[in-house]
Amino acid sequence: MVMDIQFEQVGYTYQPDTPFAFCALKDINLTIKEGSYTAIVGHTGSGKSTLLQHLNALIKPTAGVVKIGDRLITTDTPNKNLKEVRKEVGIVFQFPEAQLFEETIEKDVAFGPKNFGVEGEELKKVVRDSLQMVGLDDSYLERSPFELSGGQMRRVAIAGVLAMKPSVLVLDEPTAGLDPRGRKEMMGMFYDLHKEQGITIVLVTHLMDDVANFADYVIVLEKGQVIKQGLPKQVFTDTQWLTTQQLGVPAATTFAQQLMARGFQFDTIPLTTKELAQEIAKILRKSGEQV
Amino acid sequence: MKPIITLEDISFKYQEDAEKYALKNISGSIYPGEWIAIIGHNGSGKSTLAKMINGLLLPQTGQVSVNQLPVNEENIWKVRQSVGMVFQNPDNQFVGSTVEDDVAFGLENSGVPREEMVIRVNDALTKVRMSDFKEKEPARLSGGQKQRVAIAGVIAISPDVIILDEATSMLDPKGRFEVIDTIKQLKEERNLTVISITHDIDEAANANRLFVMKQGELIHVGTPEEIFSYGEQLVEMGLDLPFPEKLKIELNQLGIETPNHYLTEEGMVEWLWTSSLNK
Ligand SMILES: Nc1ncnc2c1ncn2[C@@H]1O[C@H](COP(=O)(O)OP(=O)(O)O)[C@@H](O)[C@H]1O
Ligand SMILES: Nc1ncnc2c1ncn2[C@@H]1O[C@H](COP(=O)(O)OP(=O)(O)O)[C@@H](O)[C@H]1O
Ligand SMILES: [Mg+2]
Ligand SMILES: [Mg+2]
Repeated sequence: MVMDIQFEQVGYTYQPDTPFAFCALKDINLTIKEGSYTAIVGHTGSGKSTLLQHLNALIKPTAGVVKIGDRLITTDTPNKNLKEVRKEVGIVFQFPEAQLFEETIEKDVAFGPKNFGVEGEELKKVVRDSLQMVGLDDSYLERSPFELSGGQMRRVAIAGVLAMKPSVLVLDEPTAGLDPRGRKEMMGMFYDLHKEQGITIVLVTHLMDDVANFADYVIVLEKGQVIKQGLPKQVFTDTQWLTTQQLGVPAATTFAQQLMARGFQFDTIPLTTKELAQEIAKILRKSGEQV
Repeated sequence: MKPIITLEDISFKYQEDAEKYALKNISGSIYPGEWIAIIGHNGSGKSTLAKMINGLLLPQTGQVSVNQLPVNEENIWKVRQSVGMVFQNPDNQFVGSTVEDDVAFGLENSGVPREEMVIRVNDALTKVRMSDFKEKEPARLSGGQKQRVAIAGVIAISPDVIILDEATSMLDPKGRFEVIDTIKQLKEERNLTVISITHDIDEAANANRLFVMKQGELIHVGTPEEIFSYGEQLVEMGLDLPFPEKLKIELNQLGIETPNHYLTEEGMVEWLWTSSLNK
């Protein structure tokens, strides 16, 4: 099955036909390509989490169509038969650790696959493998998830989603609250899953460095609408625009601009520390040759 | 000046029979109007320490005092009036059915008269720029909005000390800037003492002093300049590297030598500019 996810003129209104009706998404058109690493950015309240919940039909559009692989989801789509979609598209919500509930970590991670009929040795293996992917060894199996630190609880919750073996992994600010090393490890882990197993990643983040380092496509939301989308290079070129939008700019790009203000000239504007170092190296070597 | 918070050799285990101390022999003082950033890896004991300061947890040995008052079961309500705490996850801290009610909740408990309550609630919501959401249900707000309401709830009590336990970690850059800006303003206006637990190097840079925690121990106390000059060791302390340090690492990998000492961003720009001229 081709797992492209497509939004066509999608709108979503919370509590429609009531005085509290609130239009959280309007006229969204976008495609999340199978095998891509797509970043979704935008201010708090811009509709990112609402959009994510459309990716596995947890909520259905109140206008337009969402195509998940070959499934069409509209307002009228009945709630049954959505199990397959939910298995293919795994969502890691914000603060997923809040949803842990079993008395051991093994049971918690097993909950999803068990629901889909996995059992016995296969279940044991998938639980172990998933925990290993998030960097927790077998010694954690029998422990209670509630005596772990926040970061470890987060990993357990992510393992629970990975245990479903989704082909699309949707991450809603997955590193919020982790320390920088934990953040780096977790982002590395998602990237490995993407590279080695071809998992499509949809990442909601406020960290432009993560977008620059990992994503191959960026979607910018503002007040429920897509206001820009494209390759990171395209979206980040207009730093002036990003700054007025208060969305943040990658650290390497900001630093490159400080260098430009001092007199440096770059062929292309660097987005990552590596690119910046390469550009600087070129310049330093060139100026070495001229003397 | 007398300290507003003193920690005297406090130790704590979550289970009496546990091998590991969540906090071990912590001593220190915090002065009125200070901004302290507590840094350290996940699991190093930062949240546990914060909970000691507002009496959510009591140490097994040692003594915590707030305003010269020992933190114990007897004084707990007085302590909670002077120490407000905002947690990382906004979803666990709401009780009211509207934003307004929620902010008022803490005040009802402390017996503030009705008219003053209304003023304080409005004031606090304006400070965090959430007045427009007064009548909304907290559950219907998005994460960052919830966090601003939680901060308003604390501000309304006008505590002497506010503890932010990674409270900005899930805000967007704009929200983070606004919250820090609000906290800075309150600190100026009310001589608020701020304790912020953070992994954000820019947020830590706002502090007067940094407390570095590691495996339950307080291993360093120093100004941001002192602590930031630890360079690559900062990663061990739960902070990110300052950008110039990251750039140095990448440049070294390309065979370009860089100065060993700590450079600020401006320092790094100057060094690179000079190098590009002098080669
Ligand atoms: N259950 C809900 N009922 C009503 N409004 C909601 C609900 N959830 C979110 N909203 C509103 O929809 C908008 C978008 O929210 P959300 O998708 O959570 O944004 P983001 O994830 O970008 O912060 C916000 O203004 C929020 O207040
Ligand atoms: N409720 C609890 N029960 C048992 N152990 C806990 C509990 N909360 C935290 N711990 C343990 O105490 C240590 C310190 O945790 P914490 O103070 O939350 O660290 P930090 O806030 O620095 O991430 C960790 O080893 C953690 O696993
Ligand atoms: Mg969200
Ligand atoms: Mg903590």
